[in-house]
Amino acid sequence: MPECKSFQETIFDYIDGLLPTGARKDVVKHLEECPDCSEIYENVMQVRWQLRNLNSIKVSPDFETVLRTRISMERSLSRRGFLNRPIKIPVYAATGALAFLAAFFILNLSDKKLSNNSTPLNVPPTFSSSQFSTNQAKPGSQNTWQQINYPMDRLNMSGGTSINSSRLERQTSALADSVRKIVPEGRIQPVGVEF
Amino acid sequence: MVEEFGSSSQSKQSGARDKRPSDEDLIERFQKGDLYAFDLIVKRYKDQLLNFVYRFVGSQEEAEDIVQETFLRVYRKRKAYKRIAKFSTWIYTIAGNLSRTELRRRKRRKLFSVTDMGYEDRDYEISDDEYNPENHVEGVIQEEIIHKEINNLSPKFREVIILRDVQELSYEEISKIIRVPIGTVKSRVNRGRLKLQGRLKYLMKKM
Repeated sequence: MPECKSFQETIFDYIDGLLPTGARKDVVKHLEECPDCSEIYENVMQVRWQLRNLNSIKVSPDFETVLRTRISMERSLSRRGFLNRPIKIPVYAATGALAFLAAFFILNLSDKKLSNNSTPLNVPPTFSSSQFSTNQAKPGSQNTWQQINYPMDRLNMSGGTSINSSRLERQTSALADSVRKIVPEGRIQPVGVEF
Repeated sequence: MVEEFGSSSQSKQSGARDKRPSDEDLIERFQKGDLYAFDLIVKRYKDQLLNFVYRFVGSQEEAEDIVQETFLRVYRKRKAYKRIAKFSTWIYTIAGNLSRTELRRRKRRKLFSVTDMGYEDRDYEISDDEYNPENHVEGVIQEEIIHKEINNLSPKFREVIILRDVQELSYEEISKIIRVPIGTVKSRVNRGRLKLQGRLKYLMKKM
């Protein structure tokens, strides 16, 4: 029936108990006469009953423990002021950058000082500094390992060079370690150098 | 002195003396620093909210996460609550907003699948009286079908149907929770009921 469409809203009000007595009687009368509306009414009432009686679920047993832990964590973080003071983060970053710059300048200055004053090689523990010659480095020399001077009484080499910068000193020390080897008699022999 | 959440025996005793304080009294106590009052709120609302969110998002695991987040929001924003509104409206609004956010997130990621409702995780409360395995299986299947059909409704109908017909809240309260006029709520409830009865009438005829 076409008038049923507009009547549906009244049926729902009837279901929700929102109608006054007079209007309720009209709905009851209509439901008795109209099978379509009656079917809708029956179905809606059943669905509504089903929804109201759905099995309820419960939270897991550790629900409150987890919640307490999360709240405690939040409380401890806010006590430390970690969350409340985001302004601190740029301050920490700036301090770190300043410290880095200071360290950079100090290291550069010390490098310059070292390059101005010629210093002897950092001697490996097996040698004494007196066993090294400290001649000047050849300008433009490419083969750094050849610039290394070893004690003349042990190695049959001559024309040693002196190394001016501390960086070069470190490099040559490392290279010296890599190119020398200990022969069975206990003597130290640079690789490729004949006795 | 502010008490630790769920740890003060003195406060528990004082809480026990009160004959079921109203939600509004509890949140007021909590606003003044009584964490035991918050504990009581959690106990009072945890299952109620879980059922609402579960019917809304369809997965028990996600529903539990949302309920946890709801209580965390209540904890953080306790000062934002004003006594002019019902506490239940406020907490349902938070849970509803979080659920809608979750549904939007799912839609964006296109991960939502009707088949993945987490039924296997469900913890049914079954009465031992007149327990019949056949009826039980039938009841579980029927409930799964109803649950699935609720989830097949669009979120705007689903939310009002859950609040009205599952949680049995008044139209006025629902209107405040979802922030739409009462007339719109009623219209959505009616349309949602019509859709549901249309989809479930074959099931109702069996009964």
